[in-house]
Amino acid sequence: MVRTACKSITKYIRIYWTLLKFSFVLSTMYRASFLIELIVEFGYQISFIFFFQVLYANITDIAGWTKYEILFLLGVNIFTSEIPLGLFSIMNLRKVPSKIRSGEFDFILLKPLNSLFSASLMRPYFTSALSSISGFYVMYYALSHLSVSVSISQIFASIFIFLCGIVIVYSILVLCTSLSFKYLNTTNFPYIGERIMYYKSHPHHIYQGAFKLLFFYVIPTIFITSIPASTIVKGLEPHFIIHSFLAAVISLVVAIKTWNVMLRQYSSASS
Amino acid sequence: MKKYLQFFKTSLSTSLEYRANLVGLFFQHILSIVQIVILWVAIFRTNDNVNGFTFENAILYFICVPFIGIITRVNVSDILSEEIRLGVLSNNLIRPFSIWFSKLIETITDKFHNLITLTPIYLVIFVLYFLNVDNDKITLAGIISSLFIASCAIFLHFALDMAIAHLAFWVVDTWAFQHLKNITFTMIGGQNFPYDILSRNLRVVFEFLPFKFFYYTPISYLLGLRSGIHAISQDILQMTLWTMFFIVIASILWKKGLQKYGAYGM
Repeated sequence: MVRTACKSITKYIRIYWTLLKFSFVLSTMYRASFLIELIVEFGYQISFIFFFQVLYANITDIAGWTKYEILFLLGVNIFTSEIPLGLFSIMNLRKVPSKIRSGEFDFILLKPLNSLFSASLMRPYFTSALSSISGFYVMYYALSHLSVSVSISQIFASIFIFLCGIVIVYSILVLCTSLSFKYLNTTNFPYIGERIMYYKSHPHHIYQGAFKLLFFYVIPTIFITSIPASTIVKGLEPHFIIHSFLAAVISLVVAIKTWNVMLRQYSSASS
Repeated sequence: MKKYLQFFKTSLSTSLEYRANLVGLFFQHILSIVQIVILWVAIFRTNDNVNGFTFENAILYFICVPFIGIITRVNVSDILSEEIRLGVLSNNLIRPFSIWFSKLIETITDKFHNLITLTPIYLVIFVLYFLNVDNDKITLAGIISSLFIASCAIFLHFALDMAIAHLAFWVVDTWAFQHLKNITFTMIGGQNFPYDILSRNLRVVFEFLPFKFFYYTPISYLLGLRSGIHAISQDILQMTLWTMFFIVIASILWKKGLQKYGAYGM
């Protein structure tokens, strides 16, 4: 059983690697279009940074986060926004509602691949991957203005929590998109998932009371951006490692089960 | 006029086809309002005001942003640029109606549809706000001025969007220009922050540009930050000049675009 699982995982990794290469070729085929896409992605990043620059011209901190700590958070946020959107959403989950309505989803089900894999990972948006690199520069710039010493354990913990956060965000996007199988006359469920994802952009310390309960336990988007950033600039809190892992596992199981249940509602639109 | 009334009815029927989209739109609005309110509550926990901008005004400002956006937003460049790209425009060119006017009617229908559905929800939000926050700067005159300016901004945005749409005669896809428009609104339209927290120099530049009319100016009338016949006249004049500017650009692009239009479909 373990051997079968390993073979299966290897197969999907090989397929995904091929898809990545294909996506790279497709994205860069029209160079002008590729450059314009990059400019747009950078434009959104600049607008976000500009907002906080304007804000910090008038205040000194937000929930204990100073200007350069927030800037570091923004750098992490650039990276953690581009990656999930590019890998799962833009060319994949966003298109699921229209495919369900038109019956094109049949072609996904006909493939000898897991339907969730086909629907959510088939066409990575390469431009997002490239534009996420600017996040590293912003992080580096912010760190150079902060007098923090970062240990290897902090870096590894941050990366681990970030990876758990990616799984959580993927699960949220899949959960929201799954509703499209039941409610055919709507196209914006994937966008609701993305809107929920935006809650990751702010420091987790701003969430208090019921919102703290919500974003720490029910929709734990804090684990993709704020906690990894906080691990680097404010120090490691070991309980977040276990918390993020459990949240990732639970959210993924729930998302996959929901997808499979909702998939049974799908009836082809036929010709 | 009868044919445009028919347009209105057809567009309304089409928009009602996907009723569940409104539920999704409602959730997106609520999520974005809550997100920004949480942030500003956190900011005001440690600050009494932000460059003179108070907590009460901040909360009301960001509740109003999506609502004003329903009024001022125009997405005709999405549809028209696709029609040009796919060659579908040819069908409309031979028909006995003005494409510009038909698109304007479709825009107004879309607004009508969104407003009648989302306004009751916003009314509930506003009632909750006024029950919990004491804000004596809101007046009936301010509300009327705000809605009036926002309504006039529809035409400004329409002219700008038509200019963007007509670029489709030269470029395969105009989505990048639409996104750049969104980025501009976010940065300098007042969607992300009010002009009141800007430095003086930056504010002078932003006030000169037309983007303030899509969010900042209507909301500032509502908050009582801007009032009086003089201010309204000034804003109407500025909006009219910018609208005429974009209409001229759009007209030139339309005429030149039609000369090279081949309806190849891509």
